[in-house]
Amino acid sequence: MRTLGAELGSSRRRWSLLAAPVWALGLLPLLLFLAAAFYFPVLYTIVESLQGKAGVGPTLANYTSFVASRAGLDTLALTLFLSIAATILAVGFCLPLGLALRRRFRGKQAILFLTMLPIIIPTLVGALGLLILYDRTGWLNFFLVHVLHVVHEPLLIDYTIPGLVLFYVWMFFPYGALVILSGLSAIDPALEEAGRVMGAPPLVVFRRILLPLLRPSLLAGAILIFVQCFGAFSVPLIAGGNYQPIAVRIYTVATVFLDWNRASAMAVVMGIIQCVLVIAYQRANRAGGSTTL
Amino acid sequence: MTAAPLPRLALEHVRKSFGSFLALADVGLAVPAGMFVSLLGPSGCGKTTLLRLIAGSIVPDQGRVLVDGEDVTGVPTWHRNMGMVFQSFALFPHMTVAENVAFPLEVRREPEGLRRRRVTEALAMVHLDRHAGAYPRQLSGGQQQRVGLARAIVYRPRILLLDEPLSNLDAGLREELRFEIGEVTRRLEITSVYVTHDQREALALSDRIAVMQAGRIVQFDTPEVIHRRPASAFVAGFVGYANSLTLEMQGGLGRLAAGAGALRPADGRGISGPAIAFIHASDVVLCTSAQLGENRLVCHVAAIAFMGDHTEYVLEWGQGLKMKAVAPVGAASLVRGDEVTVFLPAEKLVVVPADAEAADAPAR
Amino acid sequence: MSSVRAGAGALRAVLLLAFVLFIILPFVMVGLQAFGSGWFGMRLLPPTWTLRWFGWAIKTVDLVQVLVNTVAIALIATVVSLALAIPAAWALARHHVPFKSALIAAILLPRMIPEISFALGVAKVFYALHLINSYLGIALAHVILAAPFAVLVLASTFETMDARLLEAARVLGCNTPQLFRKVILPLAMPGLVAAALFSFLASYNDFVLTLLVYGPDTVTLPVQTYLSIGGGYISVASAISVILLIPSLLFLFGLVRLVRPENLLGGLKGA
Repeated sequence: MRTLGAELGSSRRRWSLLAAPVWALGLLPLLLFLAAAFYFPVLYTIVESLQGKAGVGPTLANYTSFVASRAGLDTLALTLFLSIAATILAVGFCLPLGLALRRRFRGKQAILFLTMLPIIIPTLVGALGLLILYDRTGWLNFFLVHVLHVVHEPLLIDYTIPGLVLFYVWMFFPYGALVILSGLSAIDPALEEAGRVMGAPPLVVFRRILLPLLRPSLLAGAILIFVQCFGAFSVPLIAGGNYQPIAVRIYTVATVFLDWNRASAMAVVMGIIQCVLVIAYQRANRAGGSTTL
Repeated sequence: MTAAPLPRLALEHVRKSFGSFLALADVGLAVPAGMFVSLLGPSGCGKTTLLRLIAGSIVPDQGRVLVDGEDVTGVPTWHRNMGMVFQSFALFPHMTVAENVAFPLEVRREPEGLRRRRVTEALAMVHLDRHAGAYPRQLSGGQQQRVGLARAIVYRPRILLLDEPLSNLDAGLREELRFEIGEVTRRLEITSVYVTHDQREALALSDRIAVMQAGRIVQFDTPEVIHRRPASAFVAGFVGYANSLTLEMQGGLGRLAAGAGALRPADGRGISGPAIAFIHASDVVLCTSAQLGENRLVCHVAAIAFMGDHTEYVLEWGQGLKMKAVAPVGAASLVRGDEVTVFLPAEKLVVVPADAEAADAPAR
Repeated sequence: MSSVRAGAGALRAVLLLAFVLFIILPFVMVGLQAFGSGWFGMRLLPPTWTLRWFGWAIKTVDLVQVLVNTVAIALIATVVSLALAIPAAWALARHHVPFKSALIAAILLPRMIPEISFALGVAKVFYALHLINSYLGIALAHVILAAPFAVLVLASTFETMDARLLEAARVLGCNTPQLFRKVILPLAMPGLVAAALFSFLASYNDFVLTLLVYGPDTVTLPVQTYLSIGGGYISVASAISVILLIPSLLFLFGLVRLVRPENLLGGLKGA
């Protein structure tokens, strides 16, 4: 708040058209472009979402039919369940990974490289590979049934909810891993050494020292993963089978049922939820002390 | 005299390397109970490695660590019952001062009453009883390190380890806290191992100093002996001898290489051949008369620096050979270019064979 | 103690190995699917190796044209993205801008909300402007995603550029073109390259927005991958995926060197 006030004050001093603000010339093209190609479409989407079937409006019918209908609530519940389950698993996966990556060892750079792989490559390729790997006749089942003999029948993973959660974890854990890794690297290793010298075994050091200090990063990482899961489109589109979370549902309603007004309402709801989540992430991140723009 | 009691801490033939870097090469050390020992040396000499090895954070490749005669080489850090003060303070930022100090008692499952009494006691000892509820970030650096000290002694560890505890503090605070560390360790009669690269800290605090160089202890003695009788050129340089003169020793007399005269050091009898003589700047006597003879050199004043309570002179006594001397303000009225005779008292000269100089090179 | 340490080390090694397999096996699968034939029904490896699927992709879905489309669109998007982002980033980094944080938020918003939530609107607006099924239209849609991130990378580059250095160059007698060529450009180069690579990659890899604005003449690799998967041609889709994957992997190698991983956070988004 204080910085905003300061900016207001100083801008009043400097803001004069004659002084030809250089920053305005620099920012203008980008802002015009975003206004035309992004903000206008967003506005258009909001307007569409308020229009009824035969062009009547403004109406909230598209929103009520989404939020109040069984199908709409199912979509939201499915999206939330997938996102929450995947977030919990991914954070539980990032934490030991981060701890294992604390020490220096040969090949660490390669592991970091792999950590970033799922978010750099096109999502569809990852989803395709996951579908093949976890297929009834894929490698996982091949090893479980024919090599390890731990199960008799191949496991059904593709196109199931647990399978979808697994795919989400693979696809989106890097966001959490990056936050948690930078959080861990901000903790002075001497703190752990101090704890051990003072008589705390590793588990106590972890519980009493590392975990409390890491909590803001864990929270920020969790929100970031959740945001990604909530907005996931490509993975559930090709690997979701009959399960359609909100992003896929919007696409289906728009392009299959051709009900753009209802799809627009869903898109607006989704955008608002996502904005709230992003703000929560920035709060958590600030609490964690790391500064990302 | 009866048989010497078991030392509180003993290191036997300890060796540790990191990759191809030999951090500790066959170190042995015995510290009697209650003694304050400093490990003194430049960065990279292995002093911190040695400290962490005593703490158990590092396992030696070879050798043993004994506490009261018991081999603790394989005992995990958290069972060694040692205290440690860190260069970076290492206070837990999410705990208050009192919680920080109580932490070691808590993991030892000490009863609540005892815990509270000990914490109060320890905080009083470092004059922080009024800050018990504060968080570390609300304290100054000096106060933070005092918390670190209180936390390290509150559970009466068998050995207190201090890893350059003053090097993150401002000069003024440093002296104050140094005094406090000496006070507390003496009062508790706690066996202490103190790592530092600052010879003044080591001299002021220690009962014994171990000077380390390239993974070895090169001299282990009392501060007086280390200061007055350094065992090698390296030690002499490290404990702050400002002047070194290259000599050719023969029958107790040392000819100066530059042909500028001869020195007869008090303890030069056993040495012959190339040698180096060391003398503190404060031991160089500026003479008023131009009388010549042994231990006297004719110099030119190359530079003068007024230092407040004393004056520092840089004297040139031959081709590019310089020496430092200090004199009380007003004691000598010299100006640049003046010729002056200096007297180097025999008993203040420290002579070591020049081949010891070879070890002075930054070795691995 | 040493056995505890050895145990912990072994545990760590096993965990890391599991992690490595977890991450790379999907890619191995795509590779096996793309270069193998007759690979179904519980087999470790395909019985025969073949380039047939690539041939199929070239013949049936005109892979060469799809590749040309994708690269052309990505190049246009990169140029436009940089042209918009460089002056904006310079203004944000080196000038006093009122409401700066609000402006930055407004610029980054497209990266913060899911693509699908504004893709519908973009499709409608672009349709009205006849920007559907054209290189320029698709490239502009990609710029919505690429430019904000380019601003992010470039602004942090420009910010770290020491003003005293520019001043010193001035004092030493640099004129403006010289200042730009000899001082600013070399200092900004890593950021410029990173921003260009990211813009290219964002466009090359984009699927969601493309799906709503592409047309029969402007099919891109991700869209074609999707269409092939949808048609059940898993091997052809895998072959296309292998091609699709190449720039990402090359860029990842380069990018790790150019920008710190935590900088990627604000910019990357997989929908």
